[in-house]
Amino acid sequence: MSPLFSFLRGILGSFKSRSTEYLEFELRELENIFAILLMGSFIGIPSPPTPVVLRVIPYMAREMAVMSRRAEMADDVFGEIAGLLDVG
Amino acid sequence: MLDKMTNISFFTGKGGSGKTTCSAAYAVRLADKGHKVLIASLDPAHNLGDVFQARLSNSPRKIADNIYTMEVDMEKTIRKYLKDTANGLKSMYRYLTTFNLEGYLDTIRLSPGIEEYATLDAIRDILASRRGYDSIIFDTAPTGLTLKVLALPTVSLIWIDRLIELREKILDKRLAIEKIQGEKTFVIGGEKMKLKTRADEDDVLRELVKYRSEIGEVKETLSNDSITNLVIVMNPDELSLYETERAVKVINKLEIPIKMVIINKVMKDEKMWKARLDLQEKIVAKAKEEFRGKVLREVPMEAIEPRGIETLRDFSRYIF
Amino acid sequence: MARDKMNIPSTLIVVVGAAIYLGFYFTYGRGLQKHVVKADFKRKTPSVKLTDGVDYVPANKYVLFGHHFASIAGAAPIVGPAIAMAWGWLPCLLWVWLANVFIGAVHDYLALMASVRYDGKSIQWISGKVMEKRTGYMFQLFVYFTMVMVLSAFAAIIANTFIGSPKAATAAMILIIDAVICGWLMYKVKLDFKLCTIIGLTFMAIGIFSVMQFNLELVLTYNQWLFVLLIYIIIAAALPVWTLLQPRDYLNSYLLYVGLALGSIALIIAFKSMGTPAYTAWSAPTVAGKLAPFWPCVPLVIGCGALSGFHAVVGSGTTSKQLDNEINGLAIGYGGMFTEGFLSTIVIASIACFGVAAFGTVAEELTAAGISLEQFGTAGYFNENYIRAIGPLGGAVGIFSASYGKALEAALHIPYEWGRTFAALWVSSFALTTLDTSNRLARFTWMELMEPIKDKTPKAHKFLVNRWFASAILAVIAVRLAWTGDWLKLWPAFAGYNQLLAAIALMTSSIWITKVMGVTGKYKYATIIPALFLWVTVTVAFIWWLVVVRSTIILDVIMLVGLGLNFILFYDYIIALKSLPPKEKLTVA
Repeated sequence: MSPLFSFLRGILGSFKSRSTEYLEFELRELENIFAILLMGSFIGIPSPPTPVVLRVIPYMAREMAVMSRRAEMADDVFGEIAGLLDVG
Repeated sequence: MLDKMTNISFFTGKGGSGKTTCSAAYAVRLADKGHKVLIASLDPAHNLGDVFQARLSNSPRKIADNIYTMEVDMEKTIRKYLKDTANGLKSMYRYLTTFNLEGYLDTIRLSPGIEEYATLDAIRDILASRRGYDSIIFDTAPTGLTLKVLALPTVSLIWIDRLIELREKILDKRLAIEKIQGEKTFVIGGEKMKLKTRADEDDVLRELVKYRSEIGEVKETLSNDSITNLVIVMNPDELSLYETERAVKVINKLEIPIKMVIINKVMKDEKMWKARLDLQEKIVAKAKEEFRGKVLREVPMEAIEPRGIETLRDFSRYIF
Repeated sequence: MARDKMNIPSTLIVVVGAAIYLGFYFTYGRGLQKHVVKADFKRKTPSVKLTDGVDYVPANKYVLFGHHFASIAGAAPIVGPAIAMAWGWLPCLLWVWLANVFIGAVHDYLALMASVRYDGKSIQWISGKVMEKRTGYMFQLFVYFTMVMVLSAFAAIIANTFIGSPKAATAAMILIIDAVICGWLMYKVKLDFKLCTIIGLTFMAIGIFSVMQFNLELVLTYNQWLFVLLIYIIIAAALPVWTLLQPRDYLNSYLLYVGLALGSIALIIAFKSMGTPAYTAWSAPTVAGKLAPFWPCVPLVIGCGALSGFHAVVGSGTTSKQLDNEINGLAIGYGGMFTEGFLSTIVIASIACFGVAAFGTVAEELTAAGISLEQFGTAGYFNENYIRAIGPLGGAVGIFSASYGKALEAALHIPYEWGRTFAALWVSSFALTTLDTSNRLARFTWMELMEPIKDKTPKAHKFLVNRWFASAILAVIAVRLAWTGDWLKLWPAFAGYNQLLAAIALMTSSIWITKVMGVTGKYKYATIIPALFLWVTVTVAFIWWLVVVRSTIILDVIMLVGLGLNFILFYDYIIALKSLPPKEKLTVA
């Protein structure tokens, strides 16, 4: 009976994950944009005053990780978005 | 930030317009009136020492009653600037290496605008450590650079406000997700970290807000009519006039009060001309001596300044 | 002369369906896993290898299953079979069972596993790498056209549903309001999650109760509904996701699972025998009123219940990045599709057994239309008039929800109107969400498609990718298509394109299996044969469409383009199949 119980619990858990999936995607993109805005001067786009960048960078581990990952996946954005927006 | 009484003056103008002389003279007069004056040179050319015929240092030094001088060592300032940040960056060294970003720290040294930021930082520092001065006078770099520096607070604030807005949005979304999914941790460079979701625990937001208030203070001070005064020094020639007109437009937009325009080196009477001619001869002779071995040309001052290709072609006969 | 009725109880159908799926899962499925995909529980999946707490996060296999299934299930597996009943329930069941087992579920599973092996890249990306670059572009183009047709088909279907069941219309509006409030509470106010859920579900229950109790009906004409939906499409896709899309997606999950569970239980214990013909004729008027031969047209009608290209997109878009172990891929990819097939089985069984009773509720309208209910037992009569008869009930969703309502009443003693409204609400709510997501996806795809012209004509490009323009052009085309009212033309066009997508996905997977994975021997045919069969079926279907069915010029052009590109696809496939392994093959982890 235990696998059945886990199964049911899993289904309930899937509801929870469905309740935030779009939000999580949005959050990723915002974090990505934030990182790009700040680190822009490293990649040749207009960026805020260097002092801001230098002060804030020590705390931007997460955002930088997101930015790197998004950069890697940049050639497959279509697939990602198509997969997220469940149709029919 | 400053004593209500402390006056701040910026002397700006084209290179060679005589702003250093004017600012120094201004300082002397204020000192005679009993003000305790600090005059600081932001000009990389550092003529202030020559004008006072004294050696200046990176920190305030008294050269006469009530007169303290200093000249900002740009190299040193930039180095200190970078060192401060390097210390802050050490904590993230681990994940910098994860992303191969440690090399980027070196490029910051060459980053465009680093001098302007360092200058602004120097200004902020000086304004912060008033130590009971009644007046602070800045002898600034030539107009172009100075305008950039003075514009920095306004420009920075626009960026900062946008960044703060975006950051708050991010935190809000993170909090909404955390409330549903629970606290999130992630691992970078082998270290486990908790995802920050609240304004009071987010270091990034805290830094942004702190920086904003610092810059906000500078902007307020600069725009404060009763404290700040910008003096433009110009010469009685066309180019100088154009430049000054343009500069005034920009400075008005930045809302920094201009209280005085000095037209320097105005020729008055014949006795002055004679004295000038003598001085001129001496300088020309000295230059010929100093720069022997180099091509030397003397170009006479003309009644009409050369403008347009025709007159310039005419003018060029002196150079070739 | 085909047999008119078969005395087979609904229970048997459901149980046989479940047995078939389970049986094939453990035999054919396991075979695929072992010999074709060669799943290895020791090999790290991207969710583990590339874990970053952002996109790549290993998920509990049951949670992932539930998520994946909820993402692929929608209104389509219900609408399709409901229409296909005109051929008789037996061929439908056989297609839903066998096509699912040998083609559909294989397609889903392989797409998922291919993506897992390619570090979570989407099937579209893989197709560009493993076949030709233009295959990837073709994929996007197909998606765009599919979106245009989904919008028009679903708009038409929703409008019909609401006309057939005005109470469901009210309930759907209430659900929208419920979702908005729920979204605000959950994401802005950040109230406790469980509390919000309870509030959301209670509000929904009260809403349905009020609708039933006070007979709250929203009555509009077909065109008026289309207009409302047009506004809805544009507004919904412009809102931030937390406002409507996210909370409604969440609430819909409950509707789906409750609906599926209740339906299964009801049909099992109802023990009702089939009332509609098992087999009517080889051709039935299921496509645009024309007599459509079962082969090749059944994929144009049933679609999702047996095979859907979009499942590959979902599986390779998000699911693959969260799969914690290769072994679990079978349950999620293969098993998920089986569950959808099971859902379609429920649909077919309930209409077969309770359809006649359902038609009874609109006996007057049917008589007025000249349809005699008594003759429905005859295969020929049923064949000719089934499609016409479901009109008064509200179209495909109408006949399903009415049959469902009757089933629930017979088995669980839930009042007919309640069950019917619930089912109509369930399907239309998913359909409404689809309108929202399709618009967003279409807008995005449009921009991707416009990329190549960016450098050549920058001014034109700038205008074309303006998001209001993209949204408007989409809405206008969709509603224009739906305006004609002939949803029976739109649905097959949508389903047809969905099958085209599946063809690309299946072909890509088979190239991956044979060329990149290097599977030889008889097992590789498990992928090649379905791919070729599917391709041939779809191509013939499209040709049939263009020859027999005539529609608006827009639709005809779209279908023609699809057909043309399909030939290029075949060419690329054969070339890829015959050639040496692609240079760009990524090493299998």
